[in-house]
Amino acid sequence: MEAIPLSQAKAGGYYKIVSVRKNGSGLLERLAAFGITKGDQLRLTQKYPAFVVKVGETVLALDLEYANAITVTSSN
Amino acid sequence: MADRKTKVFLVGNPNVGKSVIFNQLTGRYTTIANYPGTTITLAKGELELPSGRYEVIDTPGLSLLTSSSDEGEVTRKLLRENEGIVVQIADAKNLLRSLLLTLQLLEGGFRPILVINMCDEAQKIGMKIDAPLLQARLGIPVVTTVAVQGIGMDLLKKRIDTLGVPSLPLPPTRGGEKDSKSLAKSLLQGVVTERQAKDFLLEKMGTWCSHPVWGWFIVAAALELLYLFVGKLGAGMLVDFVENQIFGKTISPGAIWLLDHLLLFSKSQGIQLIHDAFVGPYGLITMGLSYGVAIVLPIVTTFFIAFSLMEDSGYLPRLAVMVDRLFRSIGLNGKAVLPMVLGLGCDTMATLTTRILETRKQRLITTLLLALAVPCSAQLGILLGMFGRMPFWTFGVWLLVIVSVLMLVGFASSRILSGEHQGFLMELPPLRRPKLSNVVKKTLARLEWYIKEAIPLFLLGTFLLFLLDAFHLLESLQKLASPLVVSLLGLPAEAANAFLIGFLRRDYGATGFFDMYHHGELSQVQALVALVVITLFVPCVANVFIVVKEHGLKVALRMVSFIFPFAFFVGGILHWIF
Repeated sequence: MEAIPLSQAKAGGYYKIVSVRKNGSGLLERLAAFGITKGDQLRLTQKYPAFVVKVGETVLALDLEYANAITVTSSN
Repeated sequence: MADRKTKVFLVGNPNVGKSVIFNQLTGRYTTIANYPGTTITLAKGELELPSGRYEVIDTPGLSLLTSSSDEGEVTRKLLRENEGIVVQIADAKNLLRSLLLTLQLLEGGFRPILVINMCDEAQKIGMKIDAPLLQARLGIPVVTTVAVQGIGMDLLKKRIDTLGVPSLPLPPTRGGEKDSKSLAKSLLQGVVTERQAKDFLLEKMGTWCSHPVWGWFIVAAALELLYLFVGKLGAGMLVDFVENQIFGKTISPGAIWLLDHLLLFSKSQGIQLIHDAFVGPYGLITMGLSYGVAIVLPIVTTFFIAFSLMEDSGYLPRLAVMVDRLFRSIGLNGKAVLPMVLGLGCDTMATLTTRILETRKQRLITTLLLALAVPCSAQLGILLGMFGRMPFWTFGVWLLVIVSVLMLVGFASSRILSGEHQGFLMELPPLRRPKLSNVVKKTLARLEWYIKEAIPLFLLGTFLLFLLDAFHLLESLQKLASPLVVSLLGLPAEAANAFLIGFLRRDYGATGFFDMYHHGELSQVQALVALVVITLFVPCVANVFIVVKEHGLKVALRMVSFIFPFAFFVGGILHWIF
């Protein structure tokens, strides 16, 4: 499966982080602070009203802007 | 040598229980919360052990030593410039994340004591942690604890006691991110074993709280509970009790009696003045203290309890998820819901909490909105009481106006102020049953702040009012304000008095209108206009002071000079419409 932005992923699915676009808001660093880096598996639990992902035991909420900046591929 | 206390630095991610451990070690309270940025100042306390006295320092929650955030800066500076013992506190459920920090500390030449806290929660989800194995692999002391129950604290104290030579700080070397992560993973191999046992109900509830549909029902339910608890119990029963039973029957008459007997031996004006300053109509005791202690304190206490419950249960971040999109349009993101909700309790304290927002622009917008349109619990109590006795449409209009003002001013300021939109990223901690001890500690910490910071300012405000009255300036000010009040707002001239007092005492302003309406001096429309204006009116003395402290005098003046005319402007429009 090709890489897509997290914002286009299906809710309930399992994905692997391929890349995180570097933008001004320092998303990469903020994710790293939670111990989350490229290659990590996540589960997208919901997309509205905000995106919620689960990486290991950590549950994070993020908005559309950040979801656009994270590229994932399907992992099963 | 007797004076020199060895320093103990508590470092760790936010949300791991640093403040609880600080409290366990030193007996002092700090603001205990689950989101970054709430350990606002460095808390310091003392710990006495057989080997001597230690100064325990609680640092702001940070994730990585190398992070460029304020917290990272503060902690790096602290560790670099001071010799001491580093105690790193980690969350048992998130050991991998914490281990990254441990590795950074080790790279930096520190030898931390690693505390694995919240082991009870890890156990609940079926995790087992082999601490001795980790200790052997890392070469540093590892202690498992359940801080809120005091478990493991004695062992921690023993470890601090026997650590010996404090670590010498060295400049941290750069390590690749990828390498640290795999190193951490391999270190944890076999240390952490998981079973899949989970608390399904709480996890389900957590999902509902951020659900696009059910989430809103839960918000409504939370608001209703908040109203019942703070409005009925706090504003209703408690205030009644403290104000009437304690102050009305005992303290005020007691003070009056005392001062009457002490001072009225002389008919001199000076003595009379002193007497009135304390127990006169604008007296420090009869008005100032009774306001701060009898009216605001019970209400604010119930609010703090309710807020602490929402905080400790992990609900607040989910509330942030629900409102994030809404907040986008006013230049903020979901995180700002925290100070905004706290503002319903006390705007002054909420303004302090804006520090958790990442950009200055967000902090400014939130501060402005708090000062302008978020009524604090004391005010809200009286407002709701009044609306209870007026037809429902008046409440509807008031609500509509306030929310519109919020959105409009927020939108406008987000355009005017420079700065980019800050993306929303927030951790959702597991929904948990709030721990009574935590709730009590958080509430007490907030109350302590309130008593130390807000009450003196209420006393100051009352004293200013007293001076104004003593020098007969109150009446002249009323005359000056008349044209504004009468022609623009369509209110009787006496209303100016209520506004004047409302400047220094929010609730008295609203109460003044309540009296007037009660005595038929105000029509429904007039009462509505008055209440809208008093809600939007300049913030109370304590709030203004905090804004000056946080953003400087210029910003505070600019805000006040906008809010003041704007409130009257909106009132004028309402008057014109109705």
